[in-house]
Amino acid sequence: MKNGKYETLLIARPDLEKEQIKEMVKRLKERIERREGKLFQVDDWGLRKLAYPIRSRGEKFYYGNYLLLSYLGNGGTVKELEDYLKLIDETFRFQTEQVGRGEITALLPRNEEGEEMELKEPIWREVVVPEIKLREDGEGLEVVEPSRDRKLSREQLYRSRITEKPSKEKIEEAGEGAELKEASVKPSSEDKEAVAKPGASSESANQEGEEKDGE
Amino acid sequence: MANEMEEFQERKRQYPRRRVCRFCQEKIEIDYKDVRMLVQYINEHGKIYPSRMNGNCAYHQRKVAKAIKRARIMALLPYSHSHI
Repeated sequence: MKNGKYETLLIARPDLEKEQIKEMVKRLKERIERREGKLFQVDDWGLRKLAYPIRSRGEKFYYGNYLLLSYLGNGGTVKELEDYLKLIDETFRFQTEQVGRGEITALLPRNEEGEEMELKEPIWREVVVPEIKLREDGEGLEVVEPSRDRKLSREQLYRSRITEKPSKEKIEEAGEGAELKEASVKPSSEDKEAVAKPGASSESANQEGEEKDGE
Repeated sequence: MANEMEEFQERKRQYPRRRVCRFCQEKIEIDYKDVRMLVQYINEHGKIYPSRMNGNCAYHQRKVAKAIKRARIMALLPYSHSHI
């Protein structure tokens, strides 16, 4: 097992509240500590626009909450954390990088006098990382700093292919409730009109997205 | 004839300045999270510039290319023009 310093960058759902993110980090910290790891810093990048839409579990995300976890540990720690990240619904992408080598005790963060700092809770930092945008004249790329407190509608953040469950009346009309239930999870092209909801525009957008899925 | 020779020699002297690798000179560490730095090495279509254009040495060109590919996975940089 390789001891060292690791950094995991993860993208969480854009609709998570701050408390939900903190609660999730608490669970991740528990996982890291389970395998002799130590989480010492969390960089909160905030809500950022993704460079391209990402689909995950029937949803298409345009924004994401970025978190950078810095921790000490070994290969087992990384595996434990990554296995858990695959399991939970809050995150949809992550990447781990080893940034330092050596024994855990030697890598612990130190204060100015060179003493090891005792960290019960990881240091929480708010970091601004620029986003990439195409310039308005279409020539070249532009770097923009995203603002922390922007408010976006749910439609702008992500689109869901999973429509709401059909009402009782509609089940009675169809006669076969069991079939409709299946259809409500993944509406086929025929059933789309029957289960049509106000968000019809989003469905058409999803259809376009499906065609591009092979990229 | 002598004039032509002078002209030729003048032309010969005007060769483009050899670009030097920025990373070797300034000793910058390459990190895939450093979007501001990496965006200089892609064009508006999201493609990575060749080293003959950005002047990187082979070692650092490999590192930059790897960092850009890592940044693309995390949706920090685009894969193609249509995404932006």
